[in-house]
Amino acid sequence: MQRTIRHIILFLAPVFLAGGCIEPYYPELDRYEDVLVIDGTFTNIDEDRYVNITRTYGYYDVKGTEETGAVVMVRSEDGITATYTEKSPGTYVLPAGSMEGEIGKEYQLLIETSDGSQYTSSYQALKKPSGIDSVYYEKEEIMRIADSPLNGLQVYVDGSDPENETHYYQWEFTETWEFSVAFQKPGYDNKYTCWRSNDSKAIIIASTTQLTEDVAYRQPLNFISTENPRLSRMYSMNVRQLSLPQEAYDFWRKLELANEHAGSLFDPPPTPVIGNIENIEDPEEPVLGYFRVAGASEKRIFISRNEIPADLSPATGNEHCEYLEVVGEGIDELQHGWYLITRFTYMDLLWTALSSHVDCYDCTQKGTNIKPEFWIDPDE
Amino acid sequence: MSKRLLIIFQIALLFFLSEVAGQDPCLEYNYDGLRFEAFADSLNRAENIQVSYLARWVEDVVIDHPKGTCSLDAVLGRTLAPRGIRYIKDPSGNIILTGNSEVVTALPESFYNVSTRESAIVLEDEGTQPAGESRVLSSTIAAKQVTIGNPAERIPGKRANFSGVITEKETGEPVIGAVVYAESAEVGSITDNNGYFVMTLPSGQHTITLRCVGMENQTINLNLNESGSTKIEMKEEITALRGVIVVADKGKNVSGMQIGLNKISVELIKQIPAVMGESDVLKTAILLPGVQTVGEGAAGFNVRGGSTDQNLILLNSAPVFNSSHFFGFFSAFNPDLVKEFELYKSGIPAEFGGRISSVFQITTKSGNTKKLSGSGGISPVTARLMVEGPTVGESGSFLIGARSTFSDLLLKQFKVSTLQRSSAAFYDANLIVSQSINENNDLALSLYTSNDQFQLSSDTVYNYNNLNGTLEWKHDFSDKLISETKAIFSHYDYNVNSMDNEINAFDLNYAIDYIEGRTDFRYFLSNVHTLKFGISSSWYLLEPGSRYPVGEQSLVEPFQLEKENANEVAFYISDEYNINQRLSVYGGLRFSYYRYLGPKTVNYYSEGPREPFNLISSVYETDRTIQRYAGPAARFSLRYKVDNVSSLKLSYNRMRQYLHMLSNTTAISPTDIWKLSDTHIRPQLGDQVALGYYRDFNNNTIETSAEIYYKHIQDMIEYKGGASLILNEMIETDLIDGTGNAYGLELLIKKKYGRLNGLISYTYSRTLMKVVGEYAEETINRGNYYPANYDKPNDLTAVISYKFSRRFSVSSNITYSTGRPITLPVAKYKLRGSEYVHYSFRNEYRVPDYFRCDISLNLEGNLRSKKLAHSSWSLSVYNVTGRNNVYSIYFVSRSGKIQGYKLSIFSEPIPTLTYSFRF
Repeated sequence: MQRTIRHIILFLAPVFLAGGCIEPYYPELDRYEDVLVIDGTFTNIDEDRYVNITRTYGYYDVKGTEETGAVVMVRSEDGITATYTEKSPGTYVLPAGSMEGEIGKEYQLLIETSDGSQYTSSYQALKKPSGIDSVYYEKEEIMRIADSPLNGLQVYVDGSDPENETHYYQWEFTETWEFSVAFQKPGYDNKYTCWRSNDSKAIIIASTTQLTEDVAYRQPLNFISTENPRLSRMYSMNVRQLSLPQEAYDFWRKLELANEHAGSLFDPPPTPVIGNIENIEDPEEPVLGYFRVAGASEKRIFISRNEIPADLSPATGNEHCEYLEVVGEGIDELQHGWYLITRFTYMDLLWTALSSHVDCYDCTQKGTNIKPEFWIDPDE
Repeated sequence: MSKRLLIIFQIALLFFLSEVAGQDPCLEYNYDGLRFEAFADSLNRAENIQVSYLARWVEDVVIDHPKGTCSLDAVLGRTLAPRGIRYIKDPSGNIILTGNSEVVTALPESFYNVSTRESAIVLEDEGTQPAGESRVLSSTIAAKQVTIGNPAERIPGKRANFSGVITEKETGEPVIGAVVYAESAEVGSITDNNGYFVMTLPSGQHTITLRCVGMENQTINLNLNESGSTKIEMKEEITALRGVIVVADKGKNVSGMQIGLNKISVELIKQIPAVMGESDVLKTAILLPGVQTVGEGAAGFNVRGGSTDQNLILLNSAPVFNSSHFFGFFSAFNPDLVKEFELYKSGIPAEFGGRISSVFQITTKSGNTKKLSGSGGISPVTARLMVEGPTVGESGSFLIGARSTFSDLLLKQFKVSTLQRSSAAFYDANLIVSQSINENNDLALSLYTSNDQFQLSSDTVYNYNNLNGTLEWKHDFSDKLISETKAIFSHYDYNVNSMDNEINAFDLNYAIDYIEGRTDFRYFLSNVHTLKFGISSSWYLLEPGSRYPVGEQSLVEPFQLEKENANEVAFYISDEYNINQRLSVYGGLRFSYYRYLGPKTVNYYSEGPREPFNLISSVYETDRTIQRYAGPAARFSLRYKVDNVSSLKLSYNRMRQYLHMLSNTTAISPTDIWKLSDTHIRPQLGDQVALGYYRDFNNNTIETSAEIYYKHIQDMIEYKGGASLILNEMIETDLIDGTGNAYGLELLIKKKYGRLNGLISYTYSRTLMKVVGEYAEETINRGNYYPANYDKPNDLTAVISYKFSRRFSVSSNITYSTGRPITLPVAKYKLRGSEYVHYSFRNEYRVPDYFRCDISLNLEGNLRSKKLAHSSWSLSVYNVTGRNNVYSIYFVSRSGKIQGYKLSIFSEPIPTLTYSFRF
């Protein structure tokens, strides 16, 4: 609700009252706070489970230092423990099959950093997964100030729990799309079609406590714009729906609040968002991040090029690709900034075909040419 | 310039007086045999002498004018004496027949002496007036004769009360703050808000002078025989176009009791360049020292370190719960109907209570009691119209006014479909009726309503409404005891209707009702004591929130928070005691008794932080009184006149507040809710000490003041991180108590008269908050003091107006202040590949300093006094320098990356043309 009012001020007021403006802002900061960040998820799905331990970094830095050499363990309420191994600096993995995530049981994360500090999360109950009823899309237009509307597909999810026990939902997804390059270069046959994946970034949560039924209806997941090539051939999205404990939901809600316009006049003043992990000896030490334990269910959808509404024309991603054929010997002068695709003779003349960019004939520049296991080929 | 004029006036006056002193004019013509009426008429035309008489006295009178005499006295004497008709001459030589009244016989010698002396005094005074034409002068000198009681019953030397009501001749409105002064007895009085004054004088002849800024001076020859009262009309100064900008009595800055009071008339409000041409009461208030806001366009204001809900905003005595339109861009009061506002920042009188930082009292005009008239105007945002006139029998008046937007049209002009599908509209309307029943009883009714509706390209509609009213009965028990009894109600509600998602479609409602009955007495105990006392009982009825499904598909569970009720009874007594010419003290005590009323469910928590998981039980308490709070609140002020032009003032006041606005956002929004003190939420308590030095210069035309204050606030409401305030059954778990300390220095220079007038104010102030609880959740900033959101140490404001001519004036408004505090991220971190920001200490940084300059050019219509309508044009430019003042700074995580943004609302000059008319 507050959010809607804030949007009013942000979008309407400047235009309505004319002469307003929004500009990027680069704060002058004289202080930086170094805080431990622990990020882990534990679900009932038997997969590689990760815990990332890093430190905060300055506003103008790109990433924080990784916390290496820590001992990371998960413990169930029955006392069963499993230890993570450090796969890459700061990234700890518990390989699939190491420990079962049992519905209804409580789990706790235990960490000892290399300097000997011990951290622990509170016990988190693994809730029963809820059902994904449907993942679907609709053609939509997104309005932009002083620009043409953005066209594309809006993906929605419907989730529910007939037993009325879930109440707090979170969604994450991984999108994967197939794309091809503009030109086929001899010897590059396996670099003509590639795949690319992307994990969801936004916090997508919903609570159904105000409803008579435990139904999360039409929750927007992702907007796929036609301005990028995701819809050019075949698109797929694997949606994971998490059933969260209330405490976890509150954490993600506060994190969302603090990172969406926080600081505007129609928002609460920003406050630190502290999760469920604390230093055993020094509970006052702020620790960021969360050990999330949740029941998870998954659903995958595919959207092929010929399924999307006819009036949408998705970009191919090859719009920048120029093609040049040169006859004769004067090629050496032209080669600067151009890439050779092929040479051939025709009517006794030497022809040379050139491309403006590498990524116009080599799709591995932007993705991988290893087809994902779950992939379905689009009907050509 | 004005000096030269002054000399001319003096010469003219001397000449004029010398003519009067020439005793008896010689008549140019012979009037023998004329009927008296014809004679009077001729005298008026030929000799320029006015003759006042009652027709029945002179029915058969024929002039006896012997040849060879030209003495008017001789003619009148010969004609009237045989009939026993007496007459007097006023200082201008006009003739007033007095019938066979005894009154005049007592007069001759002393009367003229007094009058002449008075004229001389008037002359001195005239020099200080901004305007002056001989016409004004002559009417100043014209004295009225008032006789009270039967002269035969006069007991010489006995003291009697002389009281009265002064009204404006044109409109019938009471003249407030007029000085009534009896020269001979050296006794004076000032009219109150109803134009009422009272003074005690020895019986006998008195020359009473009446003075009020904006009014022509007036002299009354009073023949006081016994106690009694009279009605006096004062005329508005013809020079009104030159305007008097700040209504206050001359010298009141120094001699008045009040400290920390700003009184601003609509003339100033209208003179200030306004954004989008909407003259704005609240935006004007923000220009005053000690008043701040978190940002331009933000609703609400902060007075001396208080939060926005700590201001008692009264419209004709009724509280207003939402004082703005369009999220704060415009105030909810139609400037055409506002007469003035008073802002009490300290030394708050005992009759006020309920909010701890200030009382903001808006008084509307009362209708014209003489003729039907009106005014209106058009700005790019609104159109407004006001009509006023007398009620039947001319014993009362009405005034009805309304204002409405057509901004919807404006929105449609934009070629952005988001805006074309949006709508924003508001209106407000007032009705004011006053009726005099008889000499001792007056009734007044004021009704007000406002509405806002907003929809932003989505299917969510916001709607919010104010409705309030006051019915007032004023009764004079005697000259000394006056009562005002009021029935007051105020209602505010909002509604949010969201149809975005059919399963989640809902209708959200909130409402607050306030009903108050109060009686206030004023008792003029003596010349040196004025007692005020009264009692009030207020009922608070809150519907703290309800939610209902909308549409057949909606699965929203109907939900309603229990209603909240409370009653507050308060009584007070105060005395203003003028110990001597130099020293006056004011002491008041207000006692309030507050009950939070059941039946209602009360949550009980175990030891430990007050959090939902510590809830032990929710008990439905059937008791009528669930929680009591009571306590005294002392008010004290003192004025010491150092000399005639300077004074020192000191005040202390304690305030209690039982109703709080819960607003977790930096600026208040229309969906903020009001909450009553209950078992968990204690009343807010504020104490303030203020000291001021006041000095007038240049014959009281330049007022200066310096005030310092210190304020301490206990149990101020703060919020836990991520607090959720709407439809929360355990709202107390999201609230924490804070302590506030505010102090500051306020300097003000005001020039009220002349071509160049205006005010310059500078404030240095700090507002620091501390929130420290037993548990980490209940502590902000690790328990250290931090600046409040509206802590802006340096604040400089200048409002300057220059009149080039009577028709053309230029006003300018310059504001500079330190940027408001903000919290900036101290680090970033990654979760699941997305960047987030980490905040730590609150309000550690500030937005860039604020600076703005506005200019307006005002052109009045022609000066002919008789025309269909008087019109005026105003061209204003808001933010002339086009400075990008930062409205807010925020950080967004978009596609996993953090980006900071700053938003300016007005980053270019905004010109506006406004048309207004009066008829």
